[in-house]
Amino acid sequence: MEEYKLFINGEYVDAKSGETFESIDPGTGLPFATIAKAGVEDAEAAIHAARDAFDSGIWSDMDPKERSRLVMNFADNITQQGLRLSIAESTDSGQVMGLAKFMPMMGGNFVRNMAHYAMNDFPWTEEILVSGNAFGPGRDYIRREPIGVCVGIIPWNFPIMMACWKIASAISMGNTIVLKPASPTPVTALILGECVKAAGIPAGVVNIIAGAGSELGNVLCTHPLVDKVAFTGSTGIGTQIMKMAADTVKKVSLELGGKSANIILDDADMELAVEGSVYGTFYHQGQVCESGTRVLVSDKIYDEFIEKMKARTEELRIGYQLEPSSHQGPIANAAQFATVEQYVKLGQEEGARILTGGKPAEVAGLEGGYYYEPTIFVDVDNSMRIAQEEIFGPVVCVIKFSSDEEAAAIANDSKYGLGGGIFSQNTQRAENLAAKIRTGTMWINNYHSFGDYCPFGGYKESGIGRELGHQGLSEYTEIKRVHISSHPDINANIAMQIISDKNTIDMINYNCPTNIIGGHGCLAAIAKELVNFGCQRAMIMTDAGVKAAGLADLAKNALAGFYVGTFDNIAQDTDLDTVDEATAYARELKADCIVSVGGGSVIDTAKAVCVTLTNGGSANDHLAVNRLTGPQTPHIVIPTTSGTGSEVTNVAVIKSKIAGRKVYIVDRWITPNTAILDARFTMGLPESLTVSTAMDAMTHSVEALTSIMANPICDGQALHAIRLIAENLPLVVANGQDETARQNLQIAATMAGWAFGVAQVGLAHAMAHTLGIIHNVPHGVACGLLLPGVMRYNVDHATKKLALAAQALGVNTTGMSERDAALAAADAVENLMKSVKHPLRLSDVNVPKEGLDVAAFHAIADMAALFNARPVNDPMEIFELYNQLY
Amino acid sequence: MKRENASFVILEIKAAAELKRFLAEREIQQLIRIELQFSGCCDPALGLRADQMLETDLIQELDGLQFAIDRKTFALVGNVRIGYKKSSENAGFTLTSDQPVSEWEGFGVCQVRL
Repeated sequence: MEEYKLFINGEYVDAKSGETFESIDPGTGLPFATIAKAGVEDAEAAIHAARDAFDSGIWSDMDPKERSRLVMNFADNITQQGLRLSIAESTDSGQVMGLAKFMPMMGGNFVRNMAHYAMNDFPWTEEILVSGNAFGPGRDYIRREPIGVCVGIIPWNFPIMMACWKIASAISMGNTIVLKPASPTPVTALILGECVKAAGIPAGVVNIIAGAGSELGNVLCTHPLVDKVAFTGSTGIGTQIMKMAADTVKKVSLELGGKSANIILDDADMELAVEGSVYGTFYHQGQVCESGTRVLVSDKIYDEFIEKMKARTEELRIGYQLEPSSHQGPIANAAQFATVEQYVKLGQEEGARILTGGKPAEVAGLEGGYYYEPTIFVDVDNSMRIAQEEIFGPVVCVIKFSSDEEAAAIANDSKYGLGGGIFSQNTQRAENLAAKIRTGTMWINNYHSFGDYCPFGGYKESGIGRELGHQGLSEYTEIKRVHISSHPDINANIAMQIISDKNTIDMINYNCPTNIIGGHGCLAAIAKELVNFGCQRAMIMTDAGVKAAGLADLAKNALAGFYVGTFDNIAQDTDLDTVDEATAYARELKADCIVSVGGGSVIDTAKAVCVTLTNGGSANDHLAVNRLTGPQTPHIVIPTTSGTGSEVTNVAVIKSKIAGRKVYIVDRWITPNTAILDARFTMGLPESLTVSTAMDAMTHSVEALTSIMANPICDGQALHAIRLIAENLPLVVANGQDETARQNLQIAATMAGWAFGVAQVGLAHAMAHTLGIIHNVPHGVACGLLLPGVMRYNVDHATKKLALAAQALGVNTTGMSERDAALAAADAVENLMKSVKHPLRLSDVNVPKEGLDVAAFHAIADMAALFNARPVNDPMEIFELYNQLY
Repeated sequence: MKRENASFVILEIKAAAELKRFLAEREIQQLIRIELQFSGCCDPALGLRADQMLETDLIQELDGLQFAIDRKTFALVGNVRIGYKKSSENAGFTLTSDQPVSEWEGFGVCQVRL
């Protein structure tokens, strides 16, 4: 008799106890090999060998390409041993040679394919382009690393394949493994040890021990040095393993039982359906976990089908597994044989009828073998035990159904969900039905068709996790996310300030990509911009007021042949529905460029349209901070006010009816590509709007200057914007047709936009947003009103910056203390507002006094308050501010 | 073939108590059948079921409980020891036999099926 030893730490060894057991040929009932019987000590030795090999790094730290080459050597050695493995497989497991002869080839191919994938395509590292955390800028990526020591426990039905699945998956990913083959069929797994050794895989990486699950199971599943358990077998044992592994939180993957439904629709190719059903059930004597052991047949074809299935089944030749002409070999062992007999008896007791089979088969000269006739039960109700419990033998239940919905219901009425089939000549119908079945694999017009790259595993009590393919390999890795901060400085980390008194953020992350075109008549440059973008079809977005003023037509004429249409239904308080409406129109026009002509509302709507047009779906899908990863539909802005700065910022502010408030898209990729500052577009702006939008720009500038995110680049822009507004606003109020002054206000608004787009705004904006939402106070008016009061509120936290602002505002600060100069800045802003007749009090804009306390709470919760120079924590302070300005 | 009185069960004390409690809670007076059960993929196991007596059974009365086993099953497995295990992981009956039906016999626990 052949003798096989345990393969531990690269060597074949006897069991420490010296014990052995016999492996039985199920075709004869006689022993054909002696196997060393592993005990707990041997299991521990194997685990330690695997642990040492892993921890040494000799395998886990190897470059994946180098490692895969050794795994491919393993595959080649399997091929070399192919004939020996096939015969051993057939003898040990009862597989007919017609099947067993393919097993080494399929196993070797699987090993090779997994090694190749690990070498070339497996994403060992993966960049996370968008982290989802706006406050932690940096590089984020994931590494996939081996888990460690894996235990693989495999069943007796496909010993070579199961061993290859477990070994190749584990070691291709850098793990080490202790494999325990099933005790009835240990031989081929132990031969694979020779292949491992011949391949040059280091000692300890693969260990193979044969022995009783009842003795080894406990140590293998609970040992603290084991990191993962992968089990294929019964649900009962799998459940126990899962519970045992839970104490040390081992990773567990389970591939368990099934009672899969093979559904024969009324439009099936009858010959194919019959063959597919017979093959789906009786392949390998039904000892396959995903076998189609319930055949559901449409009542329209039932009688013809079962007659043909009976006839075809009775053609199957039962014989010794090594006999090439055998279609069906023996059942694997005596216990399994007895189980099959018991269930056949049960089925009859439950009222099902045997159509064919239902008894042991006689094979001449092999009276000791476990041969059973392929058995078909009809008149089966799905609630019967023979329809609910897995039999794992050549027994099928045929169940009638009358509609696709009923077929799905019957298929899903099972605690298992491993495989399944549909036979139909209508692919769409079959796919629709497949989508309804709660199971891990659905075969359409086929069965038992596996693929090395196709994941396999179960729903419900059929298991956890997947084997094969990328998904299967991933189960043998851990994921580590690595974050590298872009600003490793305690003064730049906004999150760390939660536990400190620090209140500024010292970092520069300056991104202002907009191309600014200004000057007399500069609108003419728009055509060249489109050419530069490679665009052909520009859609104008504007509002009714701008359109009525003739400004949209000015842009349209400049666009000439590039123009395709205008969307002008944008309210001052734009919302997501408007974005969707505009996007739909842009899609209809096949627009490839958006030209916004208007103020902040129009520009922000256009930004959101560019994102939705590029990425699909609706506007609501894209509300996010820094989630885009590339350029959007090109956007050219022609501002018609001098305030918003939106032509250069990375924010779109839009109302959401569902959320009941303003929502945002914040992303550098929505910053407009081009801003055309042609003064003709602001010449007709009424005085009150000119003033309020200029004060919006003034507030942007002052708040960017004093923000905790301020930096020297933005400071320069903010100060010059303050200067330009202070000098030019009175000129424009005096003469609205002063083109130079108008241009300077546009430039100021844009520069202020650059400044606050990076440095953010502060409390004045938080309070202004609140007044806008609650009392509909126009944004620019609210900002201007609140700015002097907020400047005074911040005086001791931004003294130096406010003193610089005073100079920009034209205050002669010679001889003043820094604090006095800072306060003078607030006075200067107030004086400017008086000179241009800007409202100065909340009461001037009809804000009621009642409710200011509630407004204070809203203001504190506004995001803009986060960046204020002075920490904003006490709503009473804000309430007091509102009162002071009343 | 008629049912026959026989001796095939070794019943541990805890198991006896739990079986009695199980039957009492459900107010049923059925016997406890020892049978081959299958819970999927490759590993048959012995299990328990509250059931009716069949003509082909071997029957044993023990400690106020009645047990049945099919003759063929008895021929396959021999005598069966019924224990009860309770741990942090789970609680249930353990069944081990003279001739184990699978290499996992005694590893897991089972519940009495209805």
